Amino acid sequence: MLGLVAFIACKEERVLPDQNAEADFEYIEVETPAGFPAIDYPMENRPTAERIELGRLLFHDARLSRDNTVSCASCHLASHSFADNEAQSVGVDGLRGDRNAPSLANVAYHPYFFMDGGVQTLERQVIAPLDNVLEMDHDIVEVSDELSQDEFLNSLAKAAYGRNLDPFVLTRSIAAYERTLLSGDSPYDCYLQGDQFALTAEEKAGMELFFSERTQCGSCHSGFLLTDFSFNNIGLGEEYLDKGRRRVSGDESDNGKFKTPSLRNVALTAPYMHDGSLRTLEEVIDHFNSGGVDHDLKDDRIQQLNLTEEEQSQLKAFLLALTDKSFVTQDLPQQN
Amino acid sequence: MKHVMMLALAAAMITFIGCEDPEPIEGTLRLGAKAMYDGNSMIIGDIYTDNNDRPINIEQFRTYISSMKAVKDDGTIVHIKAIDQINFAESWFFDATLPAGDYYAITFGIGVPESINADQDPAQYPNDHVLGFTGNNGMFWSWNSGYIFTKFEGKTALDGDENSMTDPYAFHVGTDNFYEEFTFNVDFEIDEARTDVDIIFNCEQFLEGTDDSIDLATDNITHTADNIPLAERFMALFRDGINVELAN
Repeated sequence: MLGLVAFIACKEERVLPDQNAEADFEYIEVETPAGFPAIDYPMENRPTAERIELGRLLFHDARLSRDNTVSCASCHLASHSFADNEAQSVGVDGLRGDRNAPSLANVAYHPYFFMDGGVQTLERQVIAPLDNVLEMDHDIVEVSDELSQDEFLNSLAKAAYGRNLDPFVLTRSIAAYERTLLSGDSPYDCYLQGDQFALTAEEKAGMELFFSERTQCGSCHSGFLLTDFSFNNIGLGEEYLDKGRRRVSGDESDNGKFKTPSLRNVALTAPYMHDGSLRTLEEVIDHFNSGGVDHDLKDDRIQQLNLTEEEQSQLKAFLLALTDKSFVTQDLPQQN
Repeated sequence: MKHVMMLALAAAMITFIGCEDPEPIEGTLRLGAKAMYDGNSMIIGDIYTDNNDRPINIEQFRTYISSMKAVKDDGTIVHIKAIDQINFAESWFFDATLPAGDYYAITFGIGVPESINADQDPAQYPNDHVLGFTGNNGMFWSWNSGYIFTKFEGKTALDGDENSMTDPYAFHVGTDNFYEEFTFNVDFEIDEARTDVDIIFNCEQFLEGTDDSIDLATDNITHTADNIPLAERFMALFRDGINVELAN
């Protein structure tokens, strides 16, 4: 009995909304692109209009940073598929981050976050840039306290989660908004949905090359998101200052391995690679065509391809056909 | 008259029984934690001598302790507390009400159990909870999976001069693989008097044990994933540096 009491007491320490409170929220169906699977939402953070709207406002709110200069949207711009065009984004005091900002398109489907896969949930991911001295460099408790003084935001927090704006609300609402960033309306998608004229002949030739045994691009860039989320060393250099997956696994064999990125809207997210070291799609294609730099851990699939100039153009044409123009022109709230 | 005498006898018996102390059904266990260095209480910031005769101080020593339980002689396991964080800059104890009886062991985990580590986050707790944003006191990796289980850090002087304590060391151990549960045999009785049991952390043994010795000149920093071998060595020594004893 005492054990039971202790167990119950332990559970009560948590502050998740209880089932009765959850019943008060009006959940909505977020439309997913044609051909995309249903989104597996966390039970504690199923979407409501209020949660998404609050998250959208907070995502664009520079008060999240120590000096009120950097919001999530500063480095994740809609026009760039919610990435930016910097090799490393600019944080507080003009400091540069460690890695190239990734696109947030379709993060609702990602199994883990950061290029080393160190964080398991989108809600938890929100904490890291706030905390990072090179990004927002702020204290999430202080930020939440400050933002809870904003009557409008706090009333939205209560409507969204039944509580004042606090770290729980902040992390959950931003994650709820990010899960609505769904992109699946590119010419390639139209082609997959049966429109045979959605791709040009050059784009189709590039697609066939992309998914061929010869290039093996599609062996990692597979599935509806064009990534299998595997970690690979693709021979970017003889030495890796950023150890990639090894940073979180501690495994030497993970040195220089980074998560395979989705290629959706890839034309909008230059420069490329974890460090932004490849400036253009042409440089990326050239890298894979050359077979990369020798490294003990380089993936065996990265081999010299001897692609002709025409084939390289075809591959680029296919990558450009992965752009979803409607996604990058959606309505956005005013910047604070 | 006979009835009157019987009533008087019964009344006397009731009075006698009423005066006898009842058997306690529960009592208090005070579970405490103490850090020691070479047999004396370790004081944060004080200078000690390490296993290589160099001066050493301990600037921060914190650890999560979880799944605390007591085991009765009949094998019954009694839960004490789910989780807490010990900051050795302050005194730490927890008073638990336990069923009366004889006990023979204390069990606890060092770290945060997997079920509340990697897939959870501080936002799920009140800010001042030991797993919350303020309450965890820097014992959470926002870029990695979960909480820092143990922090043991400070400075030494590699040249041996205690007036220039400028060489840092830091052992930050976490991730699910490093969570470990301990059982220590310690006989105690829970009755009407409070019983004190202490978990002792012998800090000098964290660098020097029977099978290993860490030289801070060469092995002085791990955040676990960046130096797993050192985290493993530290935890092996740390484990051997813990014992549990009856305090009164």
